[in-house]
Amino acid sequence: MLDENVRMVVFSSAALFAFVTLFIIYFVVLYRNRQLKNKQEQEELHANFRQELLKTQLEVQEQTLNYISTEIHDNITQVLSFVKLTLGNIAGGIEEEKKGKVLETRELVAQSITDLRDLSKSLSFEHIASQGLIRTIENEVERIDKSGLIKVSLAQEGNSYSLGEQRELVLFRIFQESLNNTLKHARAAHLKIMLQYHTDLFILTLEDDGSGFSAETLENKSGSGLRNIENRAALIGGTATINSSPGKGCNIKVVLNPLKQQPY
Amino acid sequence: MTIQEAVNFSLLIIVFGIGVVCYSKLTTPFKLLALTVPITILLDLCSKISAHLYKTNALVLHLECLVLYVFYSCIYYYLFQSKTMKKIVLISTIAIVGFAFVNGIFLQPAYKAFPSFLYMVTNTMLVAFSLLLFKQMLLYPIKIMITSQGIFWYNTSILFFSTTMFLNLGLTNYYAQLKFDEGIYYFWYGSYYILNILTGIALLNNYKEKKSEYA
Repeated sequence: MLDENVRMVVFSSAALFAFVTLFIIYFVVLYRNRQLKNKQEQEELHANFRQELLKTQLEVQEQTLNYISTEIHDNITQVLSFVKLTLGNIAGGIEEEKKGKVLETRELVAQSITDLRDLSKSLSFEHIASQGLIRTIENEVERIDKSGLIKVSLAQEGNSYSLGEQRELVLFRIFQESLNNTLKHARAAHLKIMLQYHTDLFILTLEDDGSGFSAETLENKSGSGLRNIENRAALIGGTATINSSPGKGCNIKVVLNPLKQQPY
Repeated sequence: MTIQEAVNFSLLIIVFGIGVVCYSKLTTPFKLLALTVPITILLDLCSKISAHLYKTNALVLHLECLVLYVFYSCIYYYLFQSKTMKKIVLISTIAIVGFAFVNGIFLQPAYKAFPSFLYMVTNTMLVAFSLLLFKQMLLYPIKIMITSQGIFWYNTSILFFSTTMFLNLGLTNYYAQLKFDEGIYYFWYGSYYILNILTGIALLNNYKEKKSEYA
């Protein structure tokens, strides 16, 4: 009788402890899953927020650039055109000795007008949209070539197709950012630009032979346009890969699936 | 003093020590939890003295059951986020205090009868609160690992203790009829050991959580 009672106590208590313990283990597993799910949701929200923020920044930037472009085109170049015209008129009525200097000044003003018009075009969203990505990049390459700062070569592979106005604009801004970095920091002699159009893949590659930078700079990406390049590529559903090492130049590759529609 | 009592008393002293050391860094509900330990020690001593002097400790058990329930429900009051749950805890506490008096005077006189009704009611409420707090934890998970959360250990201790209390009471009655009530004491003490150990872990974890907030 006593043994039976002891067995009964041990069995009941063991069963109860086992039940409560199983419940606690189940709860811990469930809680862990909830934590992971929550973390994932928070990361998604954070990513969406960053994307929205970036979009807004780009929109504001585009508006500002458009405004500057319009101002250059409608105001500054108009004034300079008037100055050029006036200088032409003055040159007609003065002695030969001074005429040469006036005409030289008139040429400089004419050059400034052309440069400003090119700059205005590269800033204007409407111009980029109407010209298309390749033509706009070609214009920019011509402009840089003329400046003599760096030797730029442009190559195209495959038949070009439209990537959509927004995506082409963002790609052009990435191109401008990379170009600016090369001109400002790389001390490069050559810059190679390659546009590859495949059926389901578009690749934009920029490669310079400049001083390059360390992996540390690449990881930090602070204070440079490198993070901007990656963020902008992500915004249009692409990926940007930046490779560089000291003394070995820099290679920036933007890969995009033209068939994948990324809401912008 | 039996070995079981000595172990239980030692555990209470250790948890009391943890409570004293960590007290200033604990959050309000865990400060209350730390206070339950010296109160339990005091009431246990009173229980022994009462049993020795008057051959019954029923009055102390009535008091202990009520006081600890009030403390535990206050802790739940602070731990629940929903205003409705806070109200339920508050109303149920007032109702149970009322019931404790009615029970102690009319149903199971406090000077002679063991307060089994009060134990049943309070432990039912604590199991319900414990399950509801687990539900709240699932609805609003935080980043800290669950085993490092004081709230988890506190709630686990209450769930373990309150569920085993039903079995304790049922088996005690059953074995009392069979004149075999020694075996069940191990089970009673087992429940108390778990409660004390988990309370200590809860206090330590809450202390660490609070400390890391300032880090």
